[in-house]
Amino acid sequence: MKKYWVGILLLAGMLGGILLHIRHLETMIGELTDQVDKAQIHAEQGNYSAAGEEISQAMDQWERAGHYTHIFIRHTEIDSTTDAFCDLLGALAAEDAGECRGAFRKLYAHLTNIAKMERVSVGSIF
Amino acid sequence: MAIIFFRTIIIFITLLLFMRVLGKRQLGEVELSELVVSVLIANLAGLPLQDIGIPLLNGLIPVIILFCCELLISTLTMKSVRMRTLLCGRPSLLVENGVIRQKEMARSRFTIDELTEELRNQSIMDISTVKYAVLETDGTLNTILAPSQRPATAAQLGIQTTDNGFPIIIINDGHVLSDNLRHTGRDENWLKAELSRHGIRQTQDVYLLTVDAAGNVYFAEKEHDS
Repeated sequence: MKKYWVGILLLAGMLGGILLHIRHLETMIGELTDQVDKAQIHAEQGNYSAAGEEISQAMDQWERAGHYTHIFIRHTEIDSTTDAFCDLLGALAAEDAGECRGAFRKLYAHLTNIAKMERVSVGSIF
Repeated sequence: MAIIFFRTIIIFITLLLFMRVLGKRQLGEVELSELVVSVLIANLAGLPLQDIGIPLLNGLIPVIILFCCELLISTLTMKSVRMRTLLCGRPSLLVENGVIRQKEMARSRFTIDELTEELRNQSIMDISTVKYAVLETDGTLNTILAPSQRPATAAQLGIQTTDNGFPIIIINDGHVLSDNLRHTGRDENWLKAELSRHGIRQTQDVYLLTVDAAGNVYFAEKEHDS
């Protein structure tokens, strides 16, 4: 019976840990998305340097979380998101409105995909 | 490459620990749930080793979950007969009084070739001599011969037998197992006398030395490289 309870406790502990991970990831992605939102507003107003600063800060935050993300997220997703940050910084430096719109959309897509991948839903399970 | 090196060691130790907890049954005949867990664990544990882009946790978490499920299922099947029948199935009586139960054979999807092969494995050539043949839940076929075909026992023949007990290893490849020596009620002096009786000076020259309850000693000297 001891093994039974060890099994139950381990399962419960892991489920709790996974839920905590999802919550933490969604908070982190939410904060990053907020910063990208601010940068997009700056870029639409033509203030590319302020937008670039916001994105640099967001990218720093993303890279600081590297230890965490590399343990829990597929590395290809991490690399794609980092690439999307770099593409956006390049577009902002070029001050090309069209390119910036595309780069913002790409970064949003990657960030939301990371959050979606871990979210539990009928679709994600099946 | 270093990542694969460390991951392989982590996965190996993890699987070793979990299989150790699951018990010796995993090593031999397995029940259905145990087979499922073994097959899945082998595949899942290999994923992060093949692709270093997959986090190690993606391989470890399913292994731990399967380990927990197996712990729960093994406890439930031990406590509840109904659960045991549901998850492990029931033994099938394939032969009764020398007659093959064809419906049971079909239900178990056991062919006549498999039945005769299993019987041959047990040196049974004539099905009519089989009293019962039972297909167990782990896939083994156990047979009981008709009383007239069973080997006669010493008791049936009225022969007096002596029980020499289990031979206990005292020296294993040059190493003296002191606990075993004490368990047999003997000491170092007895061992020294036994060795000198065989013309041996040091225990390192002994490959195997056992003693049973009746005091019978088996001795094998270590072969030296010439």
